[in-house]
Amino acid sequence: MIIKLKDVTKKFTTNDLSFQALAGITLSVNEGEFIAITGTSGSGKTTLLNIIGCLDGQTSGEYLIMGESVGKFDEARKASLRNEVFGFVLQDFALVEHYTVRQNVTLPLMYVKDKKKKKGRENGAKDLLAKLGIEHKEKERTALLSGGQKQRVAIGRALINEPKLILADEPTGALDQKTSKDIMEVLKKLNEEGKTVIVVTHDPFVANCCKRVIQLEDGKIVSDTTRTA
Amino acid sequence: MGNQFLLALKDLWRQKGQTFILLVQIMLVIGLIQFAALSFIDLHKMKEEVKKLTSDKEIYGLMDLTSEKDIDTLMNDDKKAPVMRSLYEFIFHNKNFSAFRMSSNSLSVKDPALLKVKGVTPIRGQSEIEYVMTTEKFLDYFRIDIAKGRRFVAEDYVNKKTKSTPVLIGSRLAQVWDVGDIFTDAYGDQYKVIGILKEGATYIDIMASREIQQLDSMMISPVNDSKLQYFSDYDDIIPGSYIVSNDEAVMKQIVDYAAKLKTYAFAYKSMSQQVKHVIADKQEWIQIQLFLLSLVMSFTLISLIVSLLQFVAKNRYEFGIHYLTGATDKYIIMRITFQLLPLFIIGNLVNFFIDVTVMSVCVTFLASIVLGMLAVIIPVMKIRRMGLSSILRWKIK
Amino acid sequence: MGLLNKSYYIIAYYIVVATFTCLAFSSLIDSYEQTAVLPDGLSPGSMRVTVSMSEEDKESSMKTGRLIKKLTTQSNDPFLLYKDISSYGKAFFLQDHSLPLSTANGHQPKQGHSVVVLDHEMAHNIRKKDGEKYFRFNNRDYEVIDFFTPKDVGMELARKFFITLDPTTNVTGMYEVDGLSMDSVDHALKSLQKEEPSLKFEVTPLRLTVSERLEHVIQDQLVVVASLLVTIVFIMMSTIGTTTAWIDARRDEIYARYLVGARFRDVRRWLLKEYLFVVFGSFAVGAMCAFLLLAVGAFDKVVTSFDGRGLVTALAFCLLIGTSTLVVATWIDQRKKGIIRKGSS
Repeated sequence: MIIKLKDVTKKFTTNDLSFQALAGITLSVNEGEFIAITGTSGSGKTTLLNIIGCLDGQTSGEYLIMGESVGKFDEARKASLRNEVFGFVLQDFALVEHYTVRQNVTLPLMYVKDKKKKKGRENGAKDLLAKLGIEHKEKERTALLSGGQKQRVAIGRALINEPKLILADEPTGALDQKTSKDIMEVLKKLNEEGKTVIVVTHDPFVANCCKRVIQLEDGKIVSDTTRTA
Repeated sequence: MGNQFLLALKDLWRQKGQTFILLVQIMLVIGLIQFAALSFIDLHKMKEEVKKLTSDKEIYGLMDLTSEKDIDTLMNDDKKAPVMRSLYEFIFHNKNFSAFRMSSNSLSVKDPALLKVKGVTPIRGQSEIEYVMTTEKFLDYFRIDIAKGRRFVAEDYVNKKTKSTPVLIGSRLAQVWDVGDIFTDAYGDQYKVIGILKEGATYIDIMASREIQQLDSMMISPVNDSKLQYFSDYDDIIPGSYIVSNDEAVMKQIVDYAAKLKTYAFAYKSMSQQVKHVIADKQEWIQIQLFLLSLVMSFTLISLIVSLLQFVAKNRYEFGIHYLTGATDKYIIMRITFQLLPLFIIGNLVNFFIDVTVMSVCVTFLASIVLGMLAVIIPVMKIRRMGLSSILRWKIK
Repeated sequence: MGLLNKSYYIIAYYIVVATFTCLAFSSLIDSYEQTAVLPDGLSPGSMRVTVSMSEEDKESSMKTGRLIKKLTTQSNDPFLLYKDISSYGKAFFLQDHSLPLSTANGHQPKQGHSVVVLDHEMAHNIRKKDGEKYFRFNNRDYEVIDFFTPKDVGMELARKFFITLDPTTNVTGMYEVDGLSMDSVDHALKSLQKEEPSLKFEVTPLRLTVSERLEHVIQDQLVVVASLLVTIVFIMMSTIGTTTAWIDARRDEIYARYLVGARFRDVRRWLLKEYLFVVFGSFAVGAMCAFLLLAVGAFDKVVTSFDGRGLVTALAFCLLIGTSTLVVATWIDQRKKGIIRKGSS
């Protein structure tokens, strides 16, 4: 088991207002799974993904990664998890627009401490770009790319540190149907290669691509179905 | 760390215009800090110098109250030279007290090697060297030591025969001349180096100026008694004399004697009294510098903070991406801090264009660090308060 | 509150500008007023008289006493006559006039006595004879009647002593006359000239013209003037960028106004109103800071008093700077980003 959440809650409080985004989520994710988290807007999908990706902390409950409680981790450890264990793919691509494709893809290597690993992955960046079909764009600034190409760059960046888990938040949200299909194919392929993929989506097409679908409503899991092949 | 430094350099390059403005402001601040530090050091040195000089005996300076018209009359009176000689002898060769006098001037020497000496002014291919013409007790009262060669002896002050004037040279001039060397000035007058002063030798003509004079790139030559012939020769020396004595009555004797000889209308002032004015004058100058400095510093500090805060606000999304890929606050703070580093390094290079001391460089360096730290505090707090998930969630670009 | 939140940087800049301009203008106005104060207690109507020989080499046989006689016969008015005798001192003649120095004991010179009023710092130059104090000048003893502390008189050298004018000295020299009209002095000198035609004279009022006074202020307050110039340069360098950012932060509001029919000049007028409101508020804080700095004597040698006119001038200066900064910033913003369509004004 790679991830385990036990009765996790999240409450946002601003001034006098408070909002319960997650209300007791209990969830386990095993290695090699391809999961879609679906739900209506405001159901808590992104909040859940942010907690899983250590981008945000839970208000209560316990979150374990590979058996270790994230609550005990300091900021540096969480940052190293984001760097080595998770790869993020977001709806708006989260790319630095004035960087080139290569600079964006190799950005996580900036925070890799092991020099040998860093060097090896830097050398492998070209192959990764080729695998994603954007090797010819290597030196171009990302601002000049199409949506699909940008998302491939984001996937490349997510993969450069060979993470165990790909976390995708509406990865096709800003793309047309054809490009969405292509991107999902890439994610599918990664899952087949052994990566664990969690996708947050409200798109039935994307959800259909996944093996397990978890549906959220008002911060609670209302269904968790695993599709058989 | 290296990566963050490179990113910081790229950030500076991306906002070249603003970087240039900040650099100019930082250079101004550092220059002003340097000047203020030098003034403080100078003030401290002067207090020390006066304390040192007056530790055993009081030193008095003469005040010349004679009207210009009377001076003109004296100047045109050919019979006054012997009278002036008598007054000169009374002041400078008196058993009851001792006196000294220094008058500074400059001479032009043509020697290309001199142009490389710090403190020597190049003028039309020649080098202008400052020198002080002194009477016998000058070296004693300012405790000026010789590193090599010999001091002036009584003969040097009266010698009529030698073709060349004996001189003591400052330590920097020793790069060009050595003891025994003879050189000629633009008028063909010869000078012979008889000694080299120890590094850091100073003097102060407190009745005439508020500045401590460094002798390192200057020369000292003796007043030659035998060359004093006309009223003007004595007039160059007598009115600016300093008298060393613990008995104030000798000052009254000098005033009376000058009056009796129908020469000068003198009054006098003690060095400890005069130093209060000079210190007040210096303190005023320091305050003026601090006024300007605080204005420029406030502006620079605000500009730096505003610039960094605007940079943080503008690049929040980019920082979010860095956080997403494994950065911590530490890295982002490093990137911010490194933006200031080149600006302060270049700013501190300004020091090389100012005649600095080790102390003033240290003060300026420390002040730069404090200024830099003050400038990053608020931006750092802002970075630490940035919620990572909200940056990415609400797509704050 | 929203305006305040968006204006922190601008407020910080203008507080600094206001603090220093309040101090600088107070200092400049004070310095300008000082230029009206004549040295050695002379009143504004005083004049300088130069008496010389038309042939420089020739010595006049006429004595100062003759000049005094001519002046007293010309007018019955009380007057004061100073003669320069040294760069450190002056000789005085008083005709029913008091010596305008604030002395320690308020003693005034007695007629017919050779007396001196000395700077406190010259006290050690006194000699005692028969229980009386004397000061020796030019081989003559003057009885010390009182002491004074010299006032800082701007560009003038502080005097160290004032002695009774010796009427037997030569008439040529520099004088200052206080209490008589220009005409009386002129008549007296002309009558003197009739007696000795080789004498020539020049009478000039001591009061400075406005341009001379301004020149003195600039010389005297060079650093303050320089810091005002530095302020302007720094405002140019720093505030325009920040003001552009301030406008940028209000883009939504600008759009909203534009969408409901506002023109460029309407938007600019609205921005200017808000900006000047911020400048005015910052000025109030800055003026308080300046007042506090003066109260604690932080720059007592540069600025001595907090002047109401200085405050008003500084406010006008800040509002002027504020207006021009905003106008330039809106112009830059429009050119760069085109927030308002061209030709909309």
